Amino acid sequence: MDAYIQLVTLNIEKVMNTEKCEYRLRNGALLRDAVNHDISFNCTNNNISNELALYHLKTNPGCKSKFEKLPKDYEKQVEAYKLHAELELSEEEKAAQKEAEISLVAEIAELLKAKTTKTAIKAKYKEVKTIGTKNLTQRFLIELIDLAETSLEETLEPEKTLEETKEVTLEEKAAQKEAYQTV
Amino acid sequence: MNNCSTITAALVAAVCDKQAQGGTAARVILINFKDIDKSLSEVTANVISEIVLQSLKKGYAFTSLEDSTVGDFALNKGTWFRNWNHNLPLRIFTKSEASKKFVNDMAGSRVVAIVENKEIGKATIGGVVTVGEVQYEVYGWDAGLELQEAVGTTDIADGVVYDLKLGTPEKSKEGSIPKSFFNTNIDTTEAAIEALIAA
Repeated sequence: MDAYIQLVTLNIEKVMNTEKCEYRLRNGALLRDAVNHDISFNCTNNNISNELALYHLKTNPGCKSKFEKLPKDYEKQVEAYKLHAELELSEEEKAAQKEAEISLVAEIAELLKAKTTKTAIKAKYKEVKTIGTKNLTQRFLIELIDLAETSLEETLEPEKTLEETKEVTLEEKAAQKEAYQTV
Repeated sequence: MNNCSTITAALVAAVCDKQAQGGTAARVILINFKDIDKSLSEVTANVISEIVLQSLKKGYAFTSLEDSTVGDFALNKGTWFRNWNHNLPLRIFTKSEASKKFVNDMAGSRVVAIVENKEIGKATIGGVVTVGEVQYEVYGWDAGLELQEAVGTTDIADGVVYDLKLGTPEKSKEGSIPKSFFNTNIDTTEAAIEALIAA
């Protein structure tokens, strides 16, 4: 029954377009993000992709010993692979990237305003892989949440001073007294 | 007795409303002892965070009934050193050629076993709560486990077809009680476990 449902719901196009991974780890090997310690970059044979393999080989060359299978030209692929920090973006791409980040910060600010917790916000964006051309790592998301918090603080109305509060209360009291006296 | 180790920390040995849960999950991961590449595997303070296998080798899932695997360990008091024996019974409830082959193969094998406990453990270290630190335990990491007893009768009493007992070999001993298998958090740990038996 499970197999039937899988066949019926199978997206052939998606399967055909799935890139065949040229890399394979030894069983049990677990590659962890050596740069940002982002657990979304953890890599085992169950989620390995060319992109993920190259990221780890680029940021942690020593992990090569944990690979079962490497393409013959892997060294060239690693050299050609650019981490986001190394990408040279055009002015247009930079502007688009900035726009995407500002838009996300605004979205997060609205969530914070609606009393959504940071944990819930992190869970909401857990499946989002990129923002613009940049990987949405855990660390980057935390930075954006901090930015949203700061922007929210700047837009909040200043609190009334104690003096102002007192004055309003006294005025109200005077008005009430007058009202009673009239009655 | 030689002072080969000392106590280095206090311990809160009981929490009134948090009794430890007994029992094990249905699945045990078995790995041939010589298939583990210990030079690439990571062990720190008796906690294993990564088990890397030799090229083209894999672990195998032994799936039985919940709580049918009851792991235990015992202190081995030698004249000069104290070490440990690990024990792990495996109960087989299906009678098939595959089961019979498994029993025959186990007779000459030396394995490491990863057991999943129902008690997963929860610790607060530096204000951070970590769950799952003792969910998985590894038996036989130092010396392996060998078949010590195997019983099978046509009576199939209580539904048990083959009753196997794995244990630390006579001449090799374990340096610690079963080591925990844990990496960062529960999700990362489970991903590492699944990576051992990946196709």
